Amino acid sequence: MKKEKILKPLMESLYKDELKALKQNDTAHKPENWLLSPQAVRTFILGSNTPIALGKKEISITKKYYGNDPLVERAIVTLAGNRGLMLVGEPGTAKTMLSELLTAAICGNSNNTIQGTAGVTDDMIKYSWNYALLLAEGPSPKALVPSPLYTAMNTGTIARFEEITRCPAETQDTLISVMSDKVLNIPELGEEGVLLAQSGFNVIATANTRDRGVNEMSSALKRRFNFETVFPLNNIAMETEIIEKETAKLLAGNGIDRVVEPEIAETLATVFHELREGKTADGKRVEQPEAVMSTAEAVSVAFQSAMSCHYFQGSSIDMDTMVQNIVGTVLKESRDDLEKIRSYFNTIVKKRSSDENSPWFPFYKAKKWIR
Amino acid sequence: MDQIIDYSFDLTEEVLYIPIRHHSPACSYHLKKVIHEYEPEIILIEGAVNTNHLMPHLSDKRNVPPFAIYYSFNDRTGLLGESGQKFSCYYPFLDYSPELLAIREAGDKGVPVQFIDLPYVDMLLASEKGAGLRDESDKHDYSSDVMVDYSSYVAELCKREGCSDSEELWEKQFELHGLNQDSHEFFTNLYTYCYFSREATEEITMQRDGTFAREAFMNKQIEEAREKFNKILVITGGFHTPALLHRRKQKVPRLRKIKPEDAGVYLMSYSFDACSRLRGYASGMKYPNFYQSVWRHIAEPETCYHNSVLEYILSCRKKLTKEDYPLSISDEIEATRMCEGLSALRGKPSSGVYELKDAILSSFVKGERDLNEELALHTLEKNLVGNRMGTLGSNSEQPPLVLDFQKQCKKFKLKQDTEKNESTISIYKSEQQRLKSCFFHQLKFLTESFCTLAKGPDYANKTESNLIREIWNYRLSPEVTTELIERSQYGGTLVEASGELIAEQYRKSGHSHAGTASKLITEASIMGLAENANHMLESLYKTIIGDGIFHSVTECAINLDYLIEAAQLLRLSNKMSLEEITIHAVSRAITLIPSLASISEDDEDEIINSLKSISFLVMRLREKENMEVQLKDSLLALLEFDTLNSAIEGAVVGMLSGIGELSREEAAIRARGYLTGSGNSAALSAKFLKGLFATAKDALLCNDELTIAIDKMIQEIPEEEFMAIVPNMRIAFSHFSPTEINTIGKRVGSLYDTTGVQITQVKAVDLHLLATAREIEQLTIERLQKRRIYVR
Repeated sequence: MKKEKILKPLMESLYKDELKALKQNDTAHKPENWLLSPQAVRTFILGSNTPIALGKKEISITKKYYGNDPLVERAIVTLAGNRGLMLVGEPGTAKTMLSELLTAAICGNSNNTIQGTAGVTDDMIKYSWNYALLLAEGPSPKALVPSPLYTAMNTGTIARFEEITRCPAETQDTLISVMSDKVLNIPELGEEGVLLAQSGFNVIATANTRDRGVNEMSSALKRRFNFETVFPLNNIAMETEIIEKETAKLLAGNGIDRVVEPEIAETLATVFHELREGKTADGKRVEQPEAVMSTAEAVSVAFQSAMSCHYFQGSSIDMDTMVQNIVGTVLKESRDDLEKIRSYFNTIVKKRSSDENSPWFPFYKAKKWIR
Repeated sequence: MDQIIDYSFDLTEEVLYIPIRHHSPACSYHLKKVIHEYEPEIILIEGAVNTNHLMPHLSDKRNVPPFAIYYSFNDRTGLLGESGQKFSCYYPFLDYSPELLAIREAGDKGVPVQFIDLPYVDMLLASEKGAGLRDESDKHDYSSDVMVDYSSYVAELCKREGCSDSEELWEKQFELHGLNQDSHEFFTNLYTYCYFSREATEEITMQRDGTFAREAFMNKQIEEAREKFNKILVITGGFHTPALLHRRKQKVPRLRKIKPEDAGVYLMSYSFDACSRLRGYASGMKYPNFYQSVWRHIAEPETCYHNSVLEYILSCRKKLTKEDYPLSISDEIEATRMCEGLSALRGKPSSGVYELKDAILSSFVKGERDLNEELALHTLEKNLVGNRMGTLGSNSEQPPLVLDFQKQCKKFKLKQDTEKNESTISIYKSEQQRLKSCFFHQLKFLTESFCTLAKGPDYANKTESNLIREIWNYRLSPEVTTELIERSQYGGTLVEASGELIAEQYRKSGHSHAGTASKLITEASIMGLAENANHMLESLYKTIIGDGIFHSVTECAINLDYLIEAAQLLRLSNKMSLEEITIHAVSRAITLIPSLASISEDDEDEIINSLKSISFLVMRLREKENMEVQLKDSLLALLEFDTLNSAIEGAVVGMLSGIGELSREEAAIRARGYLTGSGNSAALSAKFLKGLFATAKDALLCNDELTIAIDKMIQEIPEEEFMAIVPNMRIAFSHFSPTEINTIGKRVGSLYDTTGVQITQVKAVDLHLLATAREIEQLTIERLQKRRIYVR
């Protein structure tokens, strides 16, 4: 049988061996229904220098989340308690990835997810019915279609709620009583209609703050969560590493045997970092575009450029293609952003391009694509 | 490992070396036990030998920490480079500083105790410029642990232990784990930690910052003690212990003889806040109030951290609730749970300050990290640092400056209590009153906490110079003495110290900014430092020539003009030369006018005011005619520039019409050119009018056509554009008096067949409404200030 190739495997599949090795070697205390102890979850996400044994193999635990280590620790401790975890921040700051990693490590299922949109209704959050069975047999546990939240309560695992602020405020509030009382009432089932959450149940929600089309969250709901704000990376070297690693992963997933050269990745990381922060490393002011200049967007630019160069030129990334893709990324919010990029090239990039051997030289020459 | 680490914590040794970290509760906790068990015949402590005379005061329990030994050195002869440089350094003591604990324990037991380090001046001499106590920091801490904290060894340990920095590592390994260890294990671990930190430090660094010289001197002191005593306890920063233990061979520096008046050593009260600010040189006391709380509970080492963390969670919530921050008991429970969870996850036996901060961040902040987060964390930080101020009960020696201050206070019969008092001075009444005013001005210049001028002429800022009385609020607090001790290196009397400090500021200003220099001269004059003021005036001539900034030179001219007015009161002897320099400044400013051709829009209002001031000064000064010609030429030259800022153009046109170089009609024609122009003309018109009316109101008052042109422009432009020009138009019309506004109103009224009254007067706002609006504004400001996003 032909082996299926999944575009984006689940975290628990992708890091199956690491999770298995950690579980085997985990001697610390585990909260009820957790697959790993908090210490092992931390190691899974932040990595370890010392490989651990899995049968005869030595498994290295790689660092998967770059940024704020104490934030990861706070997130783990939050999930072991009564309150939910709310990850907020600008788009592209790896909130979703962090929530997937946490759920994969804690309950081995990162896919128990409610995807928040403006069209989400109460029953998508709580439960709905198989209407054929409902009409045939009346309300019964068999006819009930559990939501991811229902499943999590029932099994003592974690439900992920993506983009919670895209749901209407009143729909978000469905969570309030579930989060505080840990009970879900199903009046249609009569006396049997009470679902008590098992130990280990919790919710990780993510919310964007800068996007258009997001709703405010009620204070009552806020009280049920511990908030963690995920900030964009402020370290160019780390951002360069992520661009290289993540693009290589995406390219491999598409069967393309190419890598992003370090100097290309560094140039891209520097450009995104400076435009996002509004200043250069030596303190010069740069006008910030309205568009989101996240690390995820930088990876996307690198991936698109690599694909384009691979298929149309049979080469690795060239600066012309990269500048075209940067322009494409920036030109999402406002035409004014184009002028900001042009001005960035004319002042900052131009000065750096004097050395013909530096990557800034071809980068500046590709300025012609800013139009 | 044992072969490398040959430290033995052996209570039978003749000399017992105890490595410490300054301001560590755990070190103090174990040290106390060691002193009891070892029963030393003498205790030797790292500290300058020339401060041994302060030992009785340090051990006197009437002196409540925090306090500090303040060292100063006035390098009159240029031993360390440029002569006249001043150096200073603090050696703070907290309740839980191991050194203070040892001194007080020794005092209780009647055991002699001595400092064994080089005197401060010799430490400076042993250091290279830019290294150790001679680096560029503002404030130096003698008891710094910087060498340990920033070694590559500690950086690697932090990485392996998952700690964010060396302080978290220290808290985890020594404060939290250390309290559960016996003293032998604790000090052996501490020695090992310091040993490897030292191994990871380059010899050249230790050579440059004087470490080797200090250690050689300390070793010599220990050797001398060996001859007289059989049980010697040596307490030094852990970084030095390996060198002392191995009696590292190094040449002992010879001590320099320094004039007593150049090198000061005083005991002064200190504050938690100041201790925390000394953090710049990494002295390991970032949160003195928190560790004070730990020290209070240290009798129960298993729970002292837990109890302190709990206290802080509760007090933080209490303070935030007072600020209308929505928190409940459930948040406190969650914060406590978070602390415990984090400490378990991080392998700590109890939660410390890092878990506390994380818990507040995670459990108290509702929503995205923004102002809410700022407020919660800011409140916690403030609590962790604390505001305690030490008090000195014993009469330790005071520097001459403090004695002079006390003498002057008696002379002027100022109240000696620590309450807020008021003093009214009639500055023209008598010489005594004038001297009293100078005294207050000197204190205001030298200290921040003694006095404020509630009412009176302010020559430095040129306000209320018509007043003949000064009302001062003053308070005699321990902070004043502390601040004066810090200033003591500048001189033995208030006059000397303020004179020397202002001279230093003048030197530092680099003689290039005439505006700043003239302000300092004004300040010196107000303080009664006529000699300094005259001296600075002598060099001001050159400064003015070298200053190419119009605004700065104008500011200088204005300041000097004020000084001429007040010359009699300020006892400025040479009024003639003051006038000459003022003329020189005005003349220089006039020559700089053409440089205003390209200015930033943000500066335009300031420059218009400066132009007005120069024009005003020209009218007042001698050589008026000659100056007028110069001014006219400069203004005409400026007008030639095509790129001239519209507001400046308006002001220049107004000034030229004022001195008859342009007729009113010509000025009005230029204005109409803007008003009837195309493109961006509305915005430019508003700017032009702002400049024009600032210097020549009559251009509008005497010209109907200009009124009509303004009216027409306003009719024609779209609302958005109108809203954009409103601010500048408002400023433009603010130059007219109410009578003039009425005249303009009548004229506009006639254009619309109505009366001026209907145009210019609207129904008065209801007083009640106004009061409510003010109240709302005040409340808003208060709220914003609490959140630190509004500065009045």
